[in-house]
Amino acid sequence: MSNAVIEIRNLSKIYRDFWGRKKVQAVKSLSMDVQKGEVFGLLGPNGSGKTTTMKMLLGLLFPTSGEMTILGKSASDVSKNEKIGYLPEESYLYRFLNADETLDFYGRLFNMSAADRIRRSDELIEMVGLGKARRRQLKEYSKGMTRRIGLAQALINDPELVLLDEPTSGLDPLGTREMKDLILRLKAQGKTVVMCSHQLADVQDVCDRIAVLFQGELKVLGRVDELLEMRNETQMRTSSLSKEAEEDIRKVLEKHNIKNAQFTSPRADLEELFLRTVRESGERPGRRFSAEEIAASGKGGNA
Amino acid sequence: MDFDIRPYNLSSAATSWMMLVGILTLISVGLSFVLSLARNGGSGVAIFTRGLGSYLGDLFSLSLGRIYALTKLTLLEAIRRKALLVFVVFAVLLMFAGWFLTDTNSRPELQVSIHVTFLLTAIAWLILPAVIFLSCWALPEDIRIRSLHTVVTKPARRLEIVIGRMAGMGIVACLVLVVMGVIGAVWIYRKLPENSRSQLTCRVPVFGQLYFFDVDGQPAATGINVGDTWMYRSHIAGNSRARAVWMFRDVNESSIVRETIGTGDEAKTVEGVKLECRFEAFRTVKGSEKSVLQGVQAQYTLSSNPREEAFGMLSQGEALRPVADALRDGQFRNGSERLKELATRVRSNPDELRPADYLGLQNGLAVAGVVLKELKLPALLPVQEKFEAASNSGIALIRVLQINNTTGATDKPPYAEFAESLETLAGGILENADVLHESLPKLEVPLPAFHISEYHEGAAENITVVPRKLRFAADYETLARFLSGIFEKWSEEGKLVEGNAISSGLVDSLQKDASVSPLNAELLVTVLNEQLTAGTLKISDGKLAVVDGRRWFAFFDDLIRKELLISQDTDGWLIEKDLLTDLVSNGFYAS
Ligand SMILES: Nc1ncnc2c1ncn2[C@@H]1O[C@H](COP(=O)(O)OP(=O)(O)OP(=O)(O)O)[C@@H](O)[C@H]1O
Ligand SMILES: [Mg+2]
Repeated sequence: MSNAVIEIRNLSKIYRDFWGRKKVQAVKSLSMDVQKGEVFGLLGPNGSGKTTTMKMLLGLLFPTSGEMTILGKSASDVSKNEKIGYLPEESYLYRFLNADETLDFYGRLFNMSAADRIRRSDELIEMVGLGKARRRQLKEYSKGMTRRIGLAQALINDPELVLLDEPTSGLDPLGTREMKDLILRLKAQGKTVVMCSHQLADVQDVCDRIAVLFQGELKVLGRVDELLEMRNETQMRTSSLSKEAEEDIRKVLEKHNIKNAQFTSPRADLEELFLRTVRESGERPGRRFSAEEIAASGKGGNA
Repeated sequence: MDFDIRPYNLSSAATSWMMLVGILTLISVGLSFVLSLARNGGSGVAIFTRGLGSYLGDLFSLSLGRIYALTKLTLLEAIRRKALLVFVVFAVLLMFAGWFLTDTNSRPELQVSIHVTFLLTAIAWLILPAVIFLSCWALPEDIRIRSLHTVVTKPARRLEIVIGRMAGMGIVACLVLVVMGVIGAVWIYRKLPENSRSQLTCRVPVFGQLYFFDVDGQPAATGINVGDTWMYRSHIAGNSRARAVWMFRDVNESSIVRETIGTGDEAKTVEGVKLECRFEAFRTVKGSEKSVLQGVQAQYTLSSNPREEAFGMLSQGEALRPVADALRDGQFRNGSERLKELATRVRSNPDELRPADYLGLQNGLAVAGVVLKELKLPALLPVQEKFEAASNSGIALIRVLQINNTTGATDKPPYAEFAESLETLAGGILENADVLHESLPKLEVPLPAFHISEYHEGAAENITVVPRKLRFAADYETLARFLSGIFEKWSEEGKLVEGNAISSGLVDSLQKDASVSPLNAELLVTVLNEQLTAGTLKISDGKLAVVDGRRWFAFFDDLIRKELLISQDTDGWLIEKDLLTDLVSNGFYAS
């Protein structure tokens, strides 16, 4: 597919110890694509292999087997990095530099001109809201501030593809909001975003498609709206109903033999999907679930 | 392994550096190929080629901008993480070092070296932690706290990261070195009393070549190996005729230094050649505690003896030694006689000498020819040619001897021709004895003896400044020849006499025309007057002459031997004069 920014085929990663003995299989035969212009979410419980997958894509880890291309190039090709921005799980930055110097340093690594570097760091520092702290060394930063400068650093080269490993961790609600806005803005600019997160509400808000990993296996892959759609349920939204209206509707429904009509706000959200996937994966390992199955099991879970 | 010191040569250094790097590269490439094969089996080849390819790709697409970014990062790191605190430590050290170091009044001559050693040690010890910390912070720390992850996900190549980091560390280390060096130099300069500052000028060592003479005074290839040191540091037996001789070829005016010795009232400035050496005494017999503590007495003799150089090689082999000895001692007549005897032996009884003797003789003749040629004195040309001719004739002889030896042929070796060339040479030497004498003067200066302290301390250092104004003891003959040369000529010209007495202007003209130093000129005139009174000299026909028709040479030879040519204030048989200068200005040296 020519539109795929990331293609992963049968990717596996086995962490070995010093003697080459197998320790953990972090990723098992993973195959998926990320399309240009979409926001893709990688979900999964702790230790499910999200970060490992991302690092392999970046060439920070060598896969044990399998193939992948990123922006049409091999993961070990340094030149692909020209168009990639990466926000690591924790901000691995030089703590003795201040915000300005940090951005200047990473800008130089892209061989950006001095004028470009200044312009771009001003923009980014403004954007991540570090204007007041830009001359302070990173070792004095709070966790959230470090995340913010990490994000700025990831965007210094105006990348085509942005990989965000838990972008909202450590951010205050306002920061989280801004981060989501930023991701949507990037999407609007036609960039591709891949993110991992545990903040499911955030993922639900911004992601077009998600993949759920469990113990290194791909369990769910699909469009968020499709995955969350409950096929055996119909949801109706109105302005809030009066008691009489509720009774009338109930009667109409009973005429159609529909008994268990509930009048609550819908609870089926990503959180539920996530919990369900994890639970069922624990019960039935080695299986991948289709969107239908998930929707169907959603009923059971709901009953 | 050889320990000879060779002058630094940039191009050969560069070549050997490149060879080393090349070899290391080849080894590491080979090793990684083997490793790749071992790890990955058959597919190892492909993996290896890919790796090599990407490395070469990296090599050719290095970006200076990125390297600079990493270099700058390292510099900032050094500053921000306080690696440069070493400067503070350094400054504190310097501030307080003064208290301890200035108290070296007991050994004033050591002041400079103590200060310099302290400074260099301080710099070395301080630069070490700076560089260690820095190199620990740089890449390993990058890997540990994963800041490298952020860097390698930018388009930075591995090679760029390594080069950038190394360049940064290199610059920091250089900076530290330069700053400390400059501060240290200023500190030392201000700390030292004015008269010892000259010692800060660095010295260019002139290395001599070392020759040994064994306990019988015979040339030996090496000294005695006492077993606990490298062979290049061999020993000579004490209390014997054993000597170690260093030959210096490039000692000239430029080797002379000015130095202040002593402090306070006793300080005096000496101008001369500085001799520095280290000794080690080694005792091979058990002795009483006392004898151990007594230490060892040692002495240098400075000598300039071109004859040793020219004829020393002739002394290989028992049969040839008399010739060599005579020539070396300047007994050219005697040497000529011995050479004639040798020629006779070669002619009448050639087999008495072994082929090795012929080889040694030829070798010695060739060396003599070359050395005489190098002196570039036209007067020596005839003798030099005869040495060459004899050497050539020796080659012809040796060739036949060799052919006979290896092929079993029985060609008659040209003994007669060789003998004849030796006779010609003997004649030439006799004929040119005077020229040889004047062209190859021997000077000898025994320096004050010194003490190598107790041996179990190991080594002792001796630093002597050989003053420029020395009491040089030329050998009798050279001195006598020098003086008689002057007086013979002036006597002929009637320059020596004024009325009935020795000319009053003689002191002046000795200084002006013969370049004799003032003291010597006066001494000479005084002694001449004494001799005139004593009746060994006479004035006849307005000329000063030696009685009994003897020659001036014999007269001066006598004077020196009878130790009459000594001024009141000299304390030996040495004639007080700056003889070196006197002789040089009279053409004894052709430098
Ligand atoms: N360097 C490593 N050495 C050995 N095992 C590792 C290493 N890094 C990760 N793992 C293991 O690989 C598995 C996947 O780890 P990974 O970091 O990819 O998980 P994750 O999905 O990012 O989890 P989290 O949500 O906690 O960030 C885990 O079991 C982990 O223990
Ligand atoms: Mg992770």
